[in-house]
Amino acid sequence: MTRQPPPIERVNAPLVQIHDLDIALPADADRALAVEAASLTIARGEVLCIVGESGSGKSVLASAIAGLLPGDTLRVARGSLHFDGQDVLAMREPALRRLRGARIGYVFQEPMTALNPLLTVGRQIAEALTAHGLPAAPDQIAELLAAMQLPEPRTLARRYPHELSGGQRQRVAIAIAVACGPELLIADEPTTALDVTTQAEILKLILDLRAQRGLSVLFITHDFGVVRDIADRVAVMQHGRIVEQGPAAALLGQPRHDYTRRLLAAVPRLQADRPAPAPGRPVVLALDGIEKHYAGRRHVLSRQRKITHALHGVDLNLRAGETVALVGESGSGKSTLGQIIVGLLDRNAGGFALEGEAIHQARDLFSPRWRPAVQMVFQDPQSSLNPRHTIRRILTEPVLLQGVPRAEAEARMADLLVRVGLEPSVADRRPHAFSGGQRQRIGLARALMMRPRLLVADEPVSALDVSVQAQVLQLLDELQRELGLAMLFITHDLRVAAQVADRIAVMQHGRILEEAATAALLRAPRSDYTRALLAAIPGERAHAHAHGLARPPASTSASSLRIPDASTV
Amino acid sequence: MSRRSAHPLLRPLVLFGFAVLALLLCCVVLADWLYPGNPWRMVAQPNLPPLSPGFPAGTDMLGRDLAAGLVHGSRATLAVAFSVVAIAIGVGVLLGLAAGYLGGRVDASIMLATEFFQSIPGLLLTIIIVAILSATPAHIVFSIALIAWPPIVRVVRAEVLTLRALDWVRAARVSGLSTARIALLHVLPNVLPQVMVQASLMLAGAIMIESAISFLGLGSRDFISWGFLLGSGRTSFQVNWWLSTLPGLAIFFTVLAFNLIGDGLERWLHPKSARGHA
Repeated sequence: MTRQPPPIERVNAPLVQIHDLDIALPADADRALAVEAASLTIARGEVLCIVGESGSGKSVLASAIAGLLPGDTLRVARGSLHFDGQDVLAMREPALRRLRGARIGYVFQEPMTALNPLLTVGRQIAEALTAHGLPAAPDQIAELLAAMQLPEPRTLARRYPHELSGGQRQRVAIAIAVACGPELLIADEPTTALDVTTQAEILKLILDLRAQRGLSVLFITHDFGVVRDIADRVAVMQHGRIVEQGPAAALLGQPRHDYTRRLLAAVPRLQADRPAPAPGRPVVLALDGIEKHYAGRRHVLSRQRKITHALHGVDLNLRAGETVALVGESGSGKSTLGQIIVGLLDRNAGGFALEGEAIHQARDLFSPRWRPAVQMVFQDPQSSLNPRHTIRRILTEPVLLQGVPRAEAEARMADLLVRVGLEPSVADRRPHAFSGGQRQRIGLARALMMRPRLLVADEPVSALDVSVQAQVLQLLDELQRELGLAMLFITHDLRVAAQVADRIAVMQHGRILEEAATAALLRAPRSDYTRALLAAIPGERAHAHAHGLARPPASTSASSLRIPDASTV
Repeated sequence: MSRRSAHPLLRPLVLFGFAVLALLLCCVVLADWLYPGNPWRMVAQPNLPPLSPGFPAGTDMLGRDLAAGLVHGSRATLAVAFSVVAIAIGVGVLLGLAAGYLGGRVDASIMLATEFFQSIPGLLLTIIIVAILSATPAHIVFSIALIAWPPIVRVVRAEVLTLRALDWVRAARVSGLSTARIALLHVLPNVLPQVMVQASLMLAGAIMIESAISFLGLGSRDFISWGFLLGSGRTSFQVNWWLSTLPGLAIFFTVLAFNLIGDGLERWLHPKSARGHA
């Protein structure tokens, strides 16, 4: 893995030099250029973050550096792109292949799909090494996995991707990317699909690799918290243009461009600033010891079915006019609880009362009496509206079926569309005519058409860009107050929870670990897990002392390093 | 909304398919006007070669006009094919919807029945049924439909299973819509594009099977059909090559046309372009 040191005169030259680069989109796209007049350099050993919202061209720019542009749809129209003095744009495929892998490592967003499910982890790393003519001894692979801070590297090399957690898979993907000792690591949103504690560990790993190997890192993200944690320099992209770039401290401290300021302002702050709701309001929802388990497949030789517990005795109360945030990482059971509350799932045990009356089974919630009272806002704006129906039908069909006269349903719809910031005249369009944020507003209007008293919002903003996220959160907050709704807000993001919730309940492994008023929970978390969650929030470490927030003792930070027991896989 | 190249239904091969289909429809509609009277009639000298004056497709050994047979045969062939598709789609869509949306025991029993029919060699089953029952057009349609519905069930069920997990279906449940309403008015319209593609391919398959039955001499003698013409001309291929070649070509181009149209529909209705992302 040794490489000739670069000639002296090249050491101080930037590793990547991009000058005035235009990348053209196909003629029928919504704009002519995916990337326009981009000029950028990456110095050796530096971490450059490209920040931008979806569609800003940040991933296209990164693929251009690695020569990964799909030639049939995206092509470079103008400008120059040099990697270590070589003209990447002039290279043909064989030369590009030697460049990728050997000198540029690439890590993708989705750790689930970036690895081949049919090959062991060790094989995939070995393949990356042999493809560039390097030896791939088991020792070397184990060493590499150990450098990724993966436990038991020798056993791990024989495992298949599905046996690993998301964080472990992403570490393996990074191991493949750095296997041949590249000079540049391009990481395209590598932590977006991960839990916040795992994200913190992966970010630390990337910084460690940079320190040990002198890697340059091009890190693409939409999260300014992540930028704050790892960037030396930052470039902000909007509509294909780099609107601002500079050293991280200066850019984050004194952003000059309007767009950068707007993005920074939209990042949710970890502080509780909601006025407390008036006391003595009636309890809308009372959950007492809710249990949910799934029976697995029966094993060939054993009598008993393996039972997976999703919820272990969850208690929760929700009063009118109050927002409770349910915070947890993936697999904590928070969405299962949300589905039980709206009746999409049945519980196995536990008491469930709505406004003082017992709900015996999920079917009770579908009675004409309770159905309008409990409504839900869904996560994914792409799939939460029927693509073939008009907005009018999506909003009015359920209330018409309940016997509301058409005139009144239309009036409610017009009123709600205005309230969520859309023109009533959009009612005859279909969902594809709207952006993600607008669809999420329509989803909210759909839930409110029924005049619910309890609203369950399942990750309603996690699929949205940060600036859109801020608008939708504010809207949810306003409407919840105006209508005096009880709202259960399910999220993985403590920052978002802090912004909308009166109380926060932290869930892990199907239990509520801690429940407290937002300000109290942020100031003095009682459980180690909450402390770990708080510490893992990107971009908040720098602020933690200033705000007097609790920091975890080093030993308690949550760890995803454990390999699942052989008995459970 | 992107129109990267030509519209998928306007590509040359698909247009060719539509042209053949249009020609066929002309034959079906205008058969009695083009060749009035019974196509079995003896009208000319026997064994006239193609392109003889007045008889563009020639005549057979009994002096029957082959062109009249081909034009009238299009009626029987297409009528059988469309009836089969209508029945198979009706049954297949309903069962597939029930299996996919209701799940559980309903799904298990419907899939068991589907697999039962799929495990029997289709053409053999059809031939046996036609041979046992009399060869009326209704029986032929019934016996072909019997083997045509299982693929539809599978396609619809797979689509419904994917759709059922989407948030808009759960949202419809949470807004209190009934199961039947969600399945029929919300989920079904989203499945129909896939069914259309299947239908066009099935039309081609049904024509093949109908021709095979007639070729084997098991078809109905009340109507002239391409398969029958092909089969009856086979014995004198050395002398009258056109008697089996021309009906064969008619079957070939019709099946090809429906396959091309099916491919075009599939491209057009492919989820990526259908969802309308910019």
